[in-house]
Parts: sequence; structure tokens; C-alpha cells
Amino acid sequence: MNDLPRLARVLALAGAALCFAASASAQDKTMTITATEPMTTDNPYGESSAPVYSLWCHTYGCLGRYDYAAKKPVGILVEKWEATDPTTWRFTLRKGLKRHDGGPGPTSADVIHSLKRIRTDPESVQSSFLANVEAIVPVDDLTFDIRTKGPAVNLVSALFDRFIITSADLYEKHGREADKKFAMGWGPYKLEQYQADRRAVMRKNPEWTEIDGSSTKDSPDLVILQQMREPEQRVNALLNGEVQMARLVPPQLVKRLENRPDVKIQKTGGIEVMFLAFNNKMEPWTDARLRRAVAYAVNRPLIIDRLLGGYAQIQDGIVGPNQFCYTGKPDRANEYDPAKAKALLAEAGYANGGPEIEFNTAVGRYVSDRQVAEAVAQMLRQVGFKVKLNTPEYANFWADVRRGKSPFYYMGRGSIFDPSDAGGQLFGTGGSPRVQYSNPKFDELLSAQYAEADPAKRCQLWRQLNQTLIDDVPSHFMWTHTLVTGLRANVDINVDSSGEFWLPSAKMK
Amino acid sequence: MQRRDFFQVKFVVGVTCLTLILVLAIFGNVISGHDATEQDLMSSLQPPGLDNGGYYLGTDHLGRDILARMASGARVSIVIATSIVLISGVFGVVYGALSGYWGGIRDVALQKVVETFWAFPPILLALAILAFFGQSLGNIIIALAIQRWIPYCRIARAQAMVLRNREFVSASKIMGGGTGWVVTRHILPNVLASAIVIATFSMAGAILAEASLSFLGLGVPPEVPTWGGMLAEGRSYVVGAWWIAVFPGLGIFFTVLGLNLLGDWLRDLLDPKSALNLR
Amino acid sequence: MLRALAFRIAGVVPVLFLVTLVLFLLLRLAPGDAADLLVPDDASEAEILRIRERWGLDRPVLEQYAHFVQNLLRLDLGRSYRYGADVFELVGSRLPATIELATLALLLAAAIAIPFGIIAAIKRGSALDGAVSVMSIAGVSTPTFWLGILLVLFFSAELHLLPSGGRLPYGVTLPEVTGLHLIDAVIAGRFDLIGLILSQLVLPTATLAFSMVGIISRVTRGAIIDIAQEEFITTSVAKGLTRGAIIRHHLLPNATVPITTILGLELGVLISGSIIVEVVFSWPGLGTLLYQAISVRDIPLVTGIVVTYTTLFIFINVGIDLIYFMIDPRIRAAEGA
Repeated sequence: MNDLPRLARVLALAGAALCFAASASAQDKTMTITATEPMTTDNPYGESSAPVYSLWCHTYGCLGRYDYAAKKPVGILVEKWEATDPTTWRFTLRKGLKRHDGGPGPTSADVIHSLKRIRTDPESVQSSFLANVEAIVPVDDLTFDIRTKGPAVNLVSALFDRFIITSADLYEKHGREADKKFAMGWGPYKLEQYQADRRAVMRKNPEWTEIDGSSTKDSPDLVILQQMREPEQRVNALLNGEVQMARLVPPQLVKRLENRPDVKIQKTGGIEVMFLAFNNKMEPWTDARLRRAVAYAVNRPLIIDRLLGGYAQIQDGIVGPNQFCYTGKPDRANEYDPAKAKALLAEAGYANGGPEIEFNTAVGRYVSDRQVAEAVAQMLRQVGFKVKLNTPEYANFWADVRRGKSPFYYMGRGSIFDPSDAGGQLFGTGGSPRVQYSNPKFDELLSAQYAEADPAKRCQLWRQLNQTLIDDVPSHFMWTHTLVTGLRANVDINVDSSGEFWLPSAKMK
Repeated sequence: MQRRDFFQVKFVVGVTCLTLILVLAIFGNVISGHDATEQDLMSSLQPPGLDNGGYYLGTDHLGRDILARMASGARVSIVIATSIVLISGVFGVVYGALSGYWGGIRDVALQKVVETFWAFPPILLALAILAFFGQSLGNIIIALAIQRWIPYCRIARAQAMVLRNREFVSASKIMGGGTGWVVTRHILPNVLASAIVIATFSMAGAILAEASLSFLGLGVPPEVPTWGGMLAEGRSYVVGAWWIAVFPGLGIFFTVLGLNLLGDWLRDLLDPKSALNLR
Repeated sequence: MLRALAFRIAGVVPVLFLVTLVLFLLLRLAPGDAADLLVPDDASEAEILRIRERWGLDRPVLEQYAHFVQNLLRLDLGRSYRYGADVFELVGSRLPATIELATLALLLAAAIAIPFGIIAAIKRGSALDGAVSVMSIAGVSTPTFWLGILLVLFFSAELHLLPSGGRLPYGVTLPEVTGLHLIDAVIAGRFDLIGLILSQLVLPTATLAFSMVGIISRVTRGAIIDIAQEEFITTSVAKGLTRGAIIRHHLLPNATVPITTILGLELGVLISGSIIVEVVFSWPGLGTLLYQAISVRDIPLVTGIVVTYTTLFIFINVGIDLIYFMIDPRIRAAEGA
């Protein structure tokens, strides 16, 4: 007889619990963001791409990040850094941080462990950005010195946003399993789920405070990075409200997001530099006149205007408006001038057409890459080149480029902000077989800028370096694509030039 | 009476469809006056119309004339599709008929090869061929034909397995017919009906398979216009510039429709029993 | 019968060896290897060499193959270069999604196509026959990626009725027993989830099925017409059997061989060919995994997936043969002989 009220009480409690659960999750401000790069492994050192670094930087934490809006580096796990001599930088870790499981904050030992893991973990592919690092030497628990092999004024920009710090203690206890079961660090978000090729889920770390003390109360509580490789699907999912942020919307799809009350568009100048690369040691590109003829033959403004919907910015040389050390337009640039191109071809002995060239492009790797290549091929034909356009599968394309077997190709180089390392690898003598350019003057200026501590003087060196690249045309620089991001109206977030963002400063209603 | 009419309707509609496509393929470029690969970025994404600089069916994102591309694409796509269907159909039917007719250990061995091919995911095969031998029309045809003979083979084998125990086949064998004789005389004609059905459908499949390769970035060389390639490129312009993809889509549809109707008609004609029914 | 079956299953072994050997050679002959493709742009030549050495990519291809076979005999498919995970586990986590999609698409296509095919055959020459023809032609002449994109555009982006892709959203927990979500939901008694699961399946399934309807209905129609012309049907007509009885007792059983053949064939095509639909709908299946694996020349993963496909297909084949065996007395007699 008593059973009935008891049942009612149980039901009521259960109902209350359900309501509570429902309201708790409704209170969670959830932001779903599309992910376009492969997410393949929960090993924080097993992939190397800006989105993956950003994920681990938000969860495990990294030394710091570059704030593109404020144009300065900002600490995340470190609060102070300074060069103590040309080959040594001293960093000081933040005090008072707690690991997500309540463990101690990051120490010099964790930083050293992370370096060691990047260099020795069989799955790691990240050691390149640390190539210049000789050793990390602890000064005390919170202070450490990074010694470099040569002068490295660019060390901070090379390490920030990329050097993920993981716990030495957890790795010693659990080994590789730590990445799966104890993915705990110090960052502003805590990893809640990682499913390769599907999604990564992060929950806001309630203990987190921004280094400048600004509030994170408006930032999303739950962030889901959802893999969506096809641009059409990203746009549809945004319009359907399944995602709050659709990244890398290609120019031809931007129209679909315009004039929608619930959706807004954000445009950011990118730092992925697109260029036509020559292998300077392969015929006929040993002849600088022909390289220059290509540069004069290509009508960049027309392609940007008609094919890329205006969503690109012309880039002359490796340092453009969105790069570090941009000091205004270069003194000379290779503007579209088909008459000059024809004259150069005639001068080089091809007055009656030719030379025959092969032109390779990746497909589906960069914005409208194949279409751009088709347009470029036609423009080259119009001045007399006999062009065979190839669209090899990416693996083949890339293998040929990397081994210096591709004579002439259209491709991009991502995340060129401080161009020192990329410049050295692409255009320095012996940097790589990809371009095979060799100019002692360039090499000399490049090593000089590594040692130049005065930013203004260093940028002057870069102005000269850039002009050398424009004049010699070891590659013809095209543009940087404007990154178009679709956002739901209730979301405020700044996508930076690298295509990434800092979630604690995002706002969501 | 009704059936007879339908029989003729099939022929008339089928021939009309294919004639239209052939006219397009042969005279399209003359009508349009443009070259299929000639770009004019200043007039990109023009809608179809009569007063837009002679781009009657509009232009694509590179300002190329859709009509001219339809015409050149028709030729290329028809060559690709026909070669694929012929190569795969003839090979598959003969292989399957022999395998099914022989039976026993020879059948098992032949089927092992079939299984090996079948087990290879089509995309992997296509990728491998295009990666090693380069991207050319010939290699695309080989890559697609290599995976498309298996349906013919399966159907032919199944039919042959049934047929070889029928009275007329056994009788022919007893009367001293060799394998070649029995197969060409009794098995192949009986497989032909099914093979034609598959072949007419396979034409469309072949055109589309090439489109799918383009979708994955592995299609024909970039400057060869094909209907499949046009469809794949047009997908990102579906809102705003529908004409880039709709016209090649219609081209494929009418080709397939025509082929199927003619295929049906041919089938009825070849089959004496059904022809009797009609008269 | 059982011996024949055992023989067929044992036949998997030579095919597996053939397939994997060809694969190894193909992947190794291709320009570019995993070491080239996995390290970032800025990696130095020295680092690529180090990675090549670490994974044994510098050793002769036959040595690598021998190693692979050794492992395979222990049912170990190795570790993926790219995912850093056990290939067996990776495949296991993706396979159910593909099978769920392919099976449902086949069922849907068969449920529509077989009745249509029969009707078209019986009413041969009627307007209905014509309508079925046109529909099936529309089906085969529409590329799957197009249909998928249009369906999502319409049902997700414009009408907001269905999700644009993906499987279960985050926050929905379903204990995975089979990995087939519909079945898992029933096992777990989570009938509330069935609506959600179906809403995610409907667009990819319909897209895949659409292209199959045409060919299945045509083959059905063709088979029925063929058999209708056989002497024994004419005899039945002469004997005065009713139309329904003829269809049930003579036409359908005899049409089963070609229909089964085409269904089995299409299931194979669906499983290995679902990649485009998986890409369009971000469906986390085996097709996208294979595409990823090929694009970085992840040999252990590619071989693992192909071994899985091969095994699956051979079982489908055995299944088809079993069905032939059961339904067609003539084949039965032949096998026995």
C-alpha cells in the first residue's frame, strides 16, 4: 500500500534528475567547429599541421602563441622570455597552474621531457621545428634555457604555437597509454574525447585564467572539432546549424552564406604563400629569362578577380602584407606584361614558340588549385610557351617535388609568418632539392638576419632578401588566399592568419 | 498491336536521342564557334542565352564555352565509354562463359583470378594504374575496364552453368561439338541478352566512373573535356551557375536513355522467340 | 556439399596471398613512400631518412612482404604508420559503419527494384514499363556525389530536416556490440535512438541505393522476360495455369539466379565502392580510411583493409554459390556429378 507513494517519489526524483541533466547540458555552450586536416592520432607529437598543433595547444598547453591581431607573441605556459646571448633564450614558466587532474603545474622537467619525446618517440614527426635547438637546460623548476646551434632571433616564433608540453610524470607512469587515458595537461581546455578522423572534444578548464587576467566566462564550455573534408558539406552543416563555425569556405561557395540573417562571414588574410616554383637546375629553367617570362605572362589580378572571387591578396616575394617584417611594397615587382614576356622568350631563342614545358599541380589540396593551374597554363601559352599540364595524384606530385624531380609546379607553403626557416629551406643553397636555387648573396643575407637582434635592421635585411627573390625569380610568387570562415550569428571568434583561433577569447551567446 | 507500337517507339526515341548526341558531337563546335579549351576569364560564369557573346549554353568558371565543351566532351566520353564497355564486355563474357561451361577445377582456378580482381577496391586499382603509368585517356580506359569486366563474367558464368546441362547443349556436345563450337553456338547467344542489358547500363557507369575519379582528383588530364569531368567541376557551382553541370548531366541521361532503348530493341530483334511474340 | 563449402573457404588463402603480394609490389613501385608523406613540409632530408629506416621502408620489398605474411599468420596486421594504431583495431572500428550503410542500401534498392522489375516485365511495353525504364536510367546516369550533394543541399541546408552527415553526434552514448548502430540500439533497448540513427542513415543510404535501383530492376525485368519465353512457361500457359500461379511457381524461382547474382555483385560494389558517399557525408567508414591510407602510402593499413575486403567478398561469393545451390536443381545436379 505504501508502495505507491514511494514509486511516485522515485519517479519524481528520477524526473528531477532528468530535468537537471537536461538543463545542465542545455547550459553548456557548445561550439562545433569543422576540421579539415586529417586527425589521425591521439599522440600529440604524431601529426604536424596548424590545426593539430592548435588542438594540443588548447589542451596540453604550449609555451605560447602568436597574437596576429596584436602582432606580438603571448605566453600560455610561459610568462617571460628573453635572449641572454645570441644562442641562448631563457624562458620562465607560469606559476600557479594546475594540471587537469589536479596534479602539479608544468616544470622545466616537463619541457625537457617534451623535447626528448619529440626527438625519440617513433611516431613523432615534429622534430623539424626544433632542428636549431641544441639543448634545453634547466635553471630551476620554473626556469629553463634553450641553447641553439646558431644564432636564432626567430626562436620564439619557431617554438610558439607548436611546442606542445606534456607531463613527464604521466608519461613515465603510463607510457604511450598516457595519450589515450591520461590526456591531461594545463591548457584552457581539457580533452574529453578523441576519435581519429571523426572528432575531438574539449571541455573548458574551470581553473584556467588568461595570462593577462581577462575573463573567459563567455567562451564556449564544450568545443567539438568535427572532421568535414568536403567544403560543400561544411557549408551545408553551417546553414543547418549543425556546426557553429565552418572553416575554409572556398570562394565559389561564399555566396551561399551571404545575406543570411543567422550566418556571418569572416575574412582573414592568410599566410599560406602560393607560388609557381621552378627547379632552377632543370632545363629550361636554368635560364633566368624564361623564369622571368613566366612571371610577366601570368595575370595575377585577373585570376584573383574572376576565378578566386577576389579572395586572395597578391604576394610579391616571400614577405607579403600578412608576414612578419613586411615593410611595404617592394621597389620592383614582376607585374603582368605579356609583351615583355614575349620579348624575353625571343631573346632566349624562342621567337617562334616554345620552349616545351611540363607544369604540375596538386589537385584539391589548395583553394581552386587545378583551376588556377589551368588558367596559368593558358596564359603561358598565350606568350608562346608550349605547356603540358599534369595533375598527378598528390603523393606522386609531392614525392617528385621533395626529391627535386618536378621541373615546374604550382603549390603552397603553409604558415610562413617568420620566413627565415621556410626561406632557407626553399631558397638557401643546399636547403632542399625542391627549387635548387643558389645565390651566395641570398645565403649571406639570410644568415645575417638570424643574428640580427634589432627588429628594424632585421626587417631591412628581409626587404633586401625579398627583392633578391623577386629579381632572380627562383619561383614566381602568386598570392595568399583570404581565409573565409562562416560563423553562426551567436558566435564571436577571431580566425587568425594561420587559420587558427584562441578559444578562451571566443564569445558565444 | 500495342506491343508492336512500343517496339517501334523504342527504336524511334532511341535513335533520336543518339542522333541528337551525334549531331552535338559532330557539329557542336561549329554551332558554338568557340574552342572547348579556350578560356576567357572576363566572361566566366555567363548564364545561357542568345545574346551573351555567342555562349549559348553559358560559360564555366574559366570562361570556357559550355556548348563547345559539351561537343568535345561528347566525343571523348563516348570514346571512353565505348572502349571500356567493349573491352570489359567481350573479355568478361568470354571468360565467364568458358569458366562456367568448363566447371570443375578450371572454373575454380579462373574464379580465383576473378576474386583477386574483385577484391581489389576499384579506387585502389585506378589509383595504382594512373600513378604508375601516368594520367592519359588510354590509362583511364584501362583502369576502368579492368574493374568492369567482372559483372559480365559473373552473369555469363551463371548462365553457362545453367545452360551446359540443358538438353540442346548436351546434345551438341554428344554430337561432337568442341568447346569453341558449343560456347559460340549455344552459350554466347544466350548470354548476349543479359550482356547487352549490362553493357547499355555500363556505358553510363563508365561515363560516371570517370566523373567519380575526377571528384577524387584522379580523372582525365585537366584540359581534356569530358562530361564526367564537367559534372565533377560543376558541383561547387550548383547554386549560382547550375548550367555548368546540368548540361553534361542531361547529355549523359539522353545518351544512356537512347542506348537502353536501342539495346532493348536490338534484344527483341535478336531474340527469335520474342520477335515471334511481336508479330 | 559441406566439402564444397570448406573447399571454397580454404580458397581464400591463395587469393589473399595473390592480392597482398600484388599490393606490396604496387605500393612499393609507386613514387613516394610514407616517409615522404607523413613528415611536414619543413622536414629535412635527414629526418625523412630516419623515418624511412625506423619503419623498415629501406629494406627490400620481399623482406617486408615476408615480414607481413609472418605477422598475418598470427592474425596480426601490423601498425598503421599514419594512425599509430593497430590496423586490426582501426579496421574493426570502421568496418561496421560501411557494412551498415551498404546492407541497408542494398535492401532498400532491392525492395524498390525487384517489384518494379517484375511489374515492368509482366506489363512489358506498357507506360508503366516505360516509367520504370526512365527511372532506372535516371538512377544510373546520376553520379552519386551529385545526388548526395543535392540531397544534403535540399534536406539539410534548406529544409533543415536531416543532418548533413556523420554518424551519432557527440553526447549520445550507445554501447557498441556489433557496431551496427540500428542493431546496437535494439540490443541496448534504446528505441529512443532509432529515429536519430535512421535520420543519419537516410540520405547516404538513399544516395547509394538510387544508383542500384536501375540495374537491379533491369536485370529482374530481363530475367523474367527471358524465362517467360522458355518452353515450360508456354506449356504452363497451354495447361491453363493462372497468371499468378505461373509467376509464383515458375517465373520467380527461375529468375532467382540472375537476381541473386546481381545482388551479390552489387553488395560487393557497395562495400568497396561506398567511398564517395562516405566522403560526401563524412561517414566514418572503411572507404574513407582506405582513401586516406592510399594517399599517404600507409602500406600496413592499405593491406589490412584490402585483406578485409578480400575475405568479405569471398564470403559473399560463397553465399551466392550456396544460394544457387539451394534454388537451382540443375546446378545442384552438376555439383554432385
